[in-house]
Formats: sequence, structure tokens, C-alpha cells
Amino acid sequence: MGKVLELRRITKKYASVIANNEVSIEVEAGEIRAIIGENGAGKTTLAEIIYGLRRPDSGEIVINGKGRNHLTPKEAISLGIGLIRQERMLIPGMSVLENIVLGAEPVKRGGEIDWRDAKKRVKELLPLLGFSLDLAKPISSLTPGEKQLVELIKLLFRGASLLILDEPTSHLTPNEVSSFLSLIKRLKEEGKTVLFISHRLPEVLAVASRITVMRRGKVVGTISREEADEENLSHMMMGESFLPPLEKEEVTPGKVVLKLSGVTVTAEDGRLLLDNISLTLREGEIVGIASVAGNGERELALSIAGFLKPKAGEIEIGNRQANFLPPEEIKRLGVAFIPGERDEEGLILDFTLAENLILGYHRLPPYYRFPLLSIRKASQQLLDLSSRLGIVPLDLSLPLNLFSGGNRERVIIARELFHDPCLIIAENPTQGLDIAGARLVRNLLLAEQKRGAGILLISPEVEELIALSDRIVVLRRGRIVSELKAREATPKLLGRLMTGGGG
Amino acid sequence: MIPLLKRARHLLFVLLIALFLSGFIVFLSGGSPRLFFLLLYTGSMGDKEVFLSTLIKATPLILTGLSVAIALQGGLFNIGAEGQLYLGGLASAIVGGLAPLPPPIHLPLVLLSSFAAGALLGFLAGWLRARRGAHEVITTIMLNYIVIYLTGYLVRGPLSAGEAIPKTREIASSASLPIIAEAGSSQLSFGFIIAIVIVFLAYLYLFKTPFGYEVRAMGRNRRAAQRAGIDVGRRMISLMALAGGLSGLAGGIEVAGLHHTFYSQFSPGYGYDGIAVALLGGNHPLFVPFSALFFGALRTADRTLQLEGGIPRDIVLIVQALVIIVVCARNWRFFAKLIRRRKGNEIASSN
Repeated sequence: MGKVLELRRITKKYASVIANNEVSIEVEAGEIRAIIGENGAGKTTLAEIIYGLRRPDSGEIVINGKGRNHLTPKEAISLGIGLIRQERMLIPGMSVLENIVLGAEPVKRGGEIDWRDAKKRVKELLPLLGFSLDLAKPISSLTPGEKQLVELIKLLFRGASLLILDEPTSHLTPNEVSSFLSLIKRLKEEGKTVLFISHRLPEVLAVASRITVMRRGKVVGTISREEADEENLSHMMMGESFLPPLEKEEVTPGKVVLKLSGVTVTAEDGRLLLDNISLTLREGEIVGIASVAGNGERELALSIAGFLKPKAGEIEIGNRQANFLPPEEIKRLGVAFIPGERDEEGLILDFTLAENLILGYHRLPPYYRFPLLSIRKASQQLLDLSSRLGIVPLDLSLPLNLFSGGNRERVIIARELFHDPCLIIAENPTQGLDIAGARLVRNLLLAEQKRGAGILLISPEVEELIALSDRIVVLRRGRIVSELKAREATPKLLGRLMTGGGG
Repeated sequence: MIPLLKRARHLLFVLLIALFLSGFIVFLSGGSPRLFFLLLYTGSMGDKEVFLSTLIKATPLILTGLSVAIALQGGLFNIGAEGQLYLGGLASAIVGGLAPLPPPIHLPLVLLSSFAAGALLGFLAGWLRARRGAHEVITTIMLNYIVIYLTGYLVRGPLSAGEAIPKTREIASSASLPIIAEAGSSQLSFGFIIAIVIVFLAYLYLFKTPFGYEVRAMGRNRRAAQRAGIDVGRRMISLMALAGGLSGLAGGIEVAGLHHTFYSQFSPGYGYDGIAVALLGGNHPLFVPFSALFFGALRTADRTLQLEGGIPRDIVLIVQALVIIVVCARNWRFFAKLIRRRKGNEIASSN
């Protein structure tokens, strides 16, 4: 089979950072090619260059035998290239069908959108995916997995034959991941070519036919699926650096830092979001919250952090009644909050790295000396902090939107963990991180535990919950349905408790 | 943050393109672009009198420009600068008309009262936004009408000086700003210095204090600012009050430094022009004075254009509009490329 895509010595720099350094890759028609690498290895930049969102500084892109310096998205689409970006590109208020056709609406002669034709064509695509979906539903009512499917159908509707998927599984639950992977395989059988960009090795090994490894903007090598296993791949990804072991130690719990009794939270329409939650968390203790996304874990985090006010019940932090305290005062009690929606809630992308590292702590010394903010004087400290978390590029004055997704997550972690909190609410703290990054963050959480912080860990990854927590609380429909020691938990058992499945 | 040098280049570039396009429009309407540019220059800075007049007109524009710019840094659109300027002007005329007081007390009191009056209006709009969800664009526009007509009524009725022109009594000499330079009919007051000092204060506020940091955070990602424990509602209210105060002070300086009275239809649109000033200055306090100077120059040159060049003075409105269009059409890179390409061709053809 012929080559559909060939990249020749692509180089792209942002300010002082080289995102892609002479990258050359050849992709055969009909293969699933994985591109893997740690956070900031330059995978996303490469995807954006292929799709025409960014212009390479030098190099050549050859598509179906025709070479060029760069593409525009319009050209890319007409050449049959489709991209699913890490961030969602759907409009929540519009229906599934409207989102699918957006930008490529079939038009009747009078200039009116031909909805009937649109519907017919979308319906023809659905069986291909082995999937049914109510096209009239608004996007906001879909599960993360369904949203990802809509993104995929969107590409197929535009006739894409080369699909670039940038970290497509990062928003999905484990169940959704496995069905998404089998879908990708089906697409390959349909003759599509897939560029699967990821840092999750098991997923890559499950679908890819060949695997290209990138490190610090360069291609380290390409190997076939048969030659690859997790060990040699992670070695290629990380180079000489080694993975430190997880340092979970027995810590004797101290005083109570968080006590919830009978906390009930309702939505504006009266729906119960949290139903009579009682929970205690002590110093030096990690309590994991296991739930299928949307079962109250978010509301639990938000009400402890003060953003949601409970209708009934009491929240005590330290020994202070915190029900009615505004968020800024709860923060002052030493509560660190790592929010789940990184870019929307945790960061200000137009701010520099330094400005983001002090967000929320900007009124504390050494960043603030009355009456002025003095980021510059604290810069050595901020640099140390960033390098301890391996944030690249290590440049405090760079705006955060030039950093990769995994590095942005590290910025939030760095900020929230290094101001000596007594209570940490961590919502999915390792999302988007590579193996080494995730291990680092987990060890940091464990170090905080040893220091005496109480940690409430909310994570969709049950393995992570089991590995880090002392106790695990299972939430279903806003209720605590079970509480168990982490030692006694297995992924299977938790899965059953979370979904309420019998047996 | 974009480096200052790059911003300066951008500003200059925008101005050149807008001027070039205006010259083209003059050409289309049968005038001489050369004469237009010449008169634009001589009419605004050709001699000391017109140059001072440019500075005089730039003074209120600096303040209203800052007012709009700092609000926009916090994600709020202060369309109310005009109304705030009116109320500030009226307040300072009332306080300035009180029996003569010692100047070191009277003058600051006059300026403070104008700031406070503008701040009150801004506070109202901010409060409505933060606590009642009423959008500040709507409320500030409505407040403009209320204030402009209310002050118009007051100077015809209760506060009238009793002359044919609807205006207040002249303020006491102890309430007037000292004149720092004069030539012909142009008298530049100390108000210009005050405006420049406030430019630096606004810069410090935005970029060097925690308040400014919070304001900028709020303007860029309100939700993240909230999650970081910033009381966004309170920041909005105080920011709008501050923005209103700056516009109010613009009115106060007009009264204490220039007109010495407040009259109906007091401002030729300095508040609305503040939006253009902020826009051209990229909402950065340090660039606002340059941008204000440009608009002040246009406003000063329009007379010369009409009298000596026979070019309708409305042309300056077209230039203003073009500046705004060029700023908003962020894609000025296109022009840059065009110019670079042409340069390239020239070099190629000269070889």
C-alpha cells in the first residue's frame, strides 16, 4: 500500500522552545500509527501542523505524493484529513446533528440547510460505527464517550480518510475506552488511516500496527507492534530516566481535618446532587472517592471548597464550621483544591507560568509585600518548584497557552501542593500526565500525606484509588453506598459497587 | 503579556495604515492627500498654540481611555465614561462654586468630588452587574442618558447661573487648576500633569498590585479566578467604581482646568472616544496617553483642515473610524505581509 502521509524534517519553534525538531515520519495507507511520547514531547504540535493549524518553520509535508511547506485547515479537510483535538470542539447547546454538520452543512438550492439530507447521511455513518445515537439530543446531555463519538462522526461526515486523534481517550472512563478502541479497529477495517496520539501504553499496544516514539521534539524511533512491549516503549519515551517506585507508607492518622455530617446538596431544579453524606478525614489520611462520573463526586469537591452551599448538614474543616464560609476563607483555612477541569477552572492561559503558579496564593508572602506584588523576587522559588515537577519549558515569563496539556496539569499540582495545605481536594490529579509524571504526582500526594495533610482523592482510575488511598468511599447517585479499606478493594469489586451491579 | 516594544510597533503600524487609508479616501473625494497630511500635522502640532490645544484635548481622553482600558482588563465594558464624565464635571462645578476656600483645600476637594461622583455611577453599574446580573453595557449606556439629561435639566433650572446659556456659576479661583503653559488662546492646565501621573498609577495598579492581578485574572478567566478564591463580585464592583472615578475626574479637570463652569452638552464625546483610545492603546495604561494624543491631535486639526484645506472636518471622524476598524481587524499581519512582499519586489526589481 502507498504512503498517505510523509513528514520530512519538520521543525517548529515557539519562542525559545523547539516543539518539533526535524521530525520525519511516514504513514502507510490503512494503518493505525501510534505516536507516543511524554508530556511536551511535541505530539500535539505535530498533529496541528498536519491539520494546518500551525505552520512549520521548515520541512515538508507530503500528502498522497504531493509535497508542500504547510497546509491550511481547509486544504487539510479537502485532502481527507480530520483531527480530534484534546479539547472538545463541540457546542454544548446544539444538538448532535447540528454539531456534526456544522461547517459542512448540506445546502438546498435556496440556501437553506438541507436537514433531511444531513440526517440521512449521518444515519448511514452510524452503523459503520456500530452505534446508535439520538441525533436530536443536545450535546450537553451526552456522556463523555458519546461526545467523543460525535467528534468522530463529524470527521467521517466530512469524508476524512486520515484521522488524527490527539489523546482521544483522556476524557473517557475505562469502559468507554475499550469500546472506543474497538471502534478505531473497525475504522481501520473500513480502510481509514489513523494517527493515534497518546501516552497511554496499554491503549497504544491494543490498537496500533506501528508505533513512533517522540522525545523532546525528536523522533526516537519507529517500531512495529510485534517488537513493542510496555518496557521497551517506556524506555524509549523516557530515555535514561528511571521510574521511581510508589512510596506508600503506613501513616498514623492524626486529628480530624474534615468532617461532613448529613450534607445534602440540591440542584436548582430540586434534584438531589448529594444525599446525606457523612464522612471524616484525618491528618495523614487519604480517602478515595470512587464513582462513575456524574454521581456526585464533583459536587462533593465543590461543596467542601465552598462553591456549593449545602441545603442541610454540616461541614467542619479543622474544627471550624465551614458551611457558610465563602471560598476565599475556606482557602485561607489551608484547603487546596485541584479542580477537574484544568484549563477552565484551574488556570489562566493568557497569564505567564509565574502568574499561574501564584494564582490564589498571590496575597501571601513572598509573592506579596504590601502594597505590591513581587513575583520577580520569588522567581527563584517558582523556578525550583517548576523544575521539581519537571515542567517544560522552564521559563516563567512564557504564557501558559504555549505549554502542553500535561505540563498545565503539573502547574496546578505544583501550585496547590507547595503551599503547605492541611486539606487537599484532588480531582483527577493525574489526568493527561505521562507515566513518569503521574508517578511523580502520586508520590507528591503521598509525601503530603506523610507531612500530615488530609487528602480527598477523586479519580476515575480505580487502580489509582486503590494504590494511594487508605479508605475508599463509593458514591452512587449522590449517596455513599459503601466504604471499604483500600487494602480490601479490587478494581472489579469497586466497579461493581460503583455501577450497582449485583453479584 | 506582549512585550512593550512589540505593542509600540503594533500601535504605530495601526496608525500608519489608518492614515494611509484616510489619505486614500481624501483622494477619492477629490482632495489632495498631500495637503491633508500636511494640514493634519500643522493643524495639530505646527505651532505652540495648536500643540497645546492638542494636549488640552488629550487630557480628558487619557483619563476616559484609562477608565475604559482598566475595566476591559477585568473583562468589563465601561460604555458609561461619557455619563461619568458629565456627573464628575457637575460635581466639581458645584463644589468649586462654594465660597472661596484656601486653594490647597478647595482644589483637591473639587477633584475628589468629581472622582467620587463618577465612581458612584461606576459603582452602581458594577453592583447591578455583580449582584443582579444586569449587563454593564446596557446599564452604563442607560445611565449615560439619565445623567446627560439630568445635568442638562439642572443647569437650566436649580443650578443655573441665570444667563442665556444653560450653565452653572463660574467656579471660585481657589478651585481652579493652575495654568502650566499658554500660547494664544490655548491654556494648558496642571490637569495634564495629573492625567500623566494617573497613567503611571494605573499601570502600577494593574501590573504591580494584587488587586490588579486579580482584575486581570478575572478578565481572562473568570471561573478560574473564582476557583482561586478571588471574590469576583467584589472585584467587579470596585473595578467599575474605579473606572467611573477616572472618567469623573476627566470631567472635574475639564471644569477646574478649562471651562471653569459646567454647561449642558458639556463634552464633545470624550467618554465615547475613550473607548477608541483604549482600543488603540491595547488596553495598556502606558499606551493610552499616546493613543489619546493621537485622537486629541485629530480633534484639534479638524478646524485647520476645514478652513485652510477645504477638507470637510468630518474627515477626522472617518480617520477615527478607520483606526478602530484597523485595530479590530486583528489581521493586520496581512498588511504587514503585503508591505513586506512589495518591499521584496522592489529589492528584486532594483537588482
